[in-house]
Amino acid sequence: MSTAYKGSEVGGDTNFRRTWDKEEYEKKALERERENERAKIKEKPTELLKARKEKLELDKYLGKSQVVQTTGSAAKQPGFYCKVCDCTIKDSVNYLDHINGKRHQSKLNRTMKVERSSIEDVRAKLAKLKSKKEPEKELTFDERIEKAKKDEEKRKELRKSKKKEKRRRKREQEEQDSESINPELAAMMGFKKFKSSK
Amino acid sequence: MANRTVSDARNIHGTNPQYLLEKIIRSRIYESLYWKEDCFGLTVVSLIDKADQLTCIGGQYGNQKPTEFLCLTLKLLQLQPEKEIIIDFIRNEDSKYLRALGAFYFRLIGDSVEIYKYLEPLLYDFRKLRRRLPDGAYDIIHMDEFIDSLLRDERICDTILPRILKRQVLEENEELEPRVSFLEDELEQEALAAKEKEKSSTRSRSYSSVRKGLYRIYNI
Repeated sequence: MSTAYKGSEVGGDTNFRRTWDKEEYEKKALERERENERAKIKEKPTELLKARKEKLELDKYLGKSQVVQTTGSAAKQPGFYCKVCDCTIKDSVNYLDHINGKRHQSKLNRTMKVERSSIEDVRAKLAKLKSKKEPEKELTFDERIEKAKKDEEKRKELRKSKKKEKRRRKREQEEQDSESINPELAAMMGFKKFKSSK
Repeated sequence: MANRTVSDARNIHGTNPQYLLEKIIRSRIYESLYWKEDCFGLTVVSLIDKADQLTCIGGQYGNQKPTEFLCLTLKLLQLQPEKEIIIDFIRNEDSKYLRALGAFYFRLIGDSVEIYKYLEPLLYDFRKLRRRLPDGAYDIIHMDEFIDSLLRDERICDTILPRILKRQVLEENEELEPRVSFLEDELEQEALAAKEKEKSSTRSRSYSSVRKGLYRIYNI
């Protein structure tokens, strides 16, 4: 056994194997790694988590008929469709888990961290709550009459100003019409602008 | 994740604050629809709105569903707002359920002296609260009853409350002043009147008349 490969010390008859240019591949590997890191930095979401403002209306289609496809695009399949992730989820609980999940949120560029409210924010909010709860003070009879009068006057003024505006616009329109006649044609016809032209 | 405590939270009573609710209740809350739909991504500010919209307090009801009150409590435990914020919750007079929520949360996280200091003033709040019973029905308790049971009982809203020192002990250690009842004057007068009446050999006035006096003073 030992005699078979003894012939030459450098490789012998194993030079049919491919050789690798180690330096070149090392460079490539490093570059790949660097790119991956850059991608990772880019992927990290930057905004904080936000609560949903609108109601989800999970029972929106309750008791309604719909035409659905079992194959084809996700949007037409039965279930809850998520526009952001382009997928359809078959039941409401899983849908809730999906839209509360990390993957969905990171597609919206949100981390899973919530903003920390400061005490000033809370105080402002409580003050707002208080002002909302205070009932409007009741008016006496005279005050109500006064208020009605004022409202009436306001309405009249509004109507007047509207009328004025309308008249003004009409006049402008007429002027524009007269100006828009082709000047060459006007000259040919032998009349000038109605306005004085100095 | 959505169910994690904020990363900069401090330990309370030696554990993660969320663990102050029992494991089984916690997981029921995590599964509940209200938690997933309405409590997601809440901040302390937006939580105020939700607390204002509460219609009852209570633990679990029906098919062992947690009430919204418990869900919001867990949310507070998760967010761990500063104590001043909770004290503001407790001091607010406009939303009684926000006050109840703040008081309950404060009882969970506070230390004995603070609890007595901030919750005892609420014993003069006689507003009604709806309470969800385990069978799903409602009954009515008053804020002062609720606060009193927070200070005395072990288990409220299906939650084991952390132990606090008895008021008497704290008074002996001189950490708390003895509590002066609002009824003190009234009671003294009653006692005087009773003595006089005894002298004139008539019957002493009963407890119910003291109650009446209370009704008269505070318009309950």
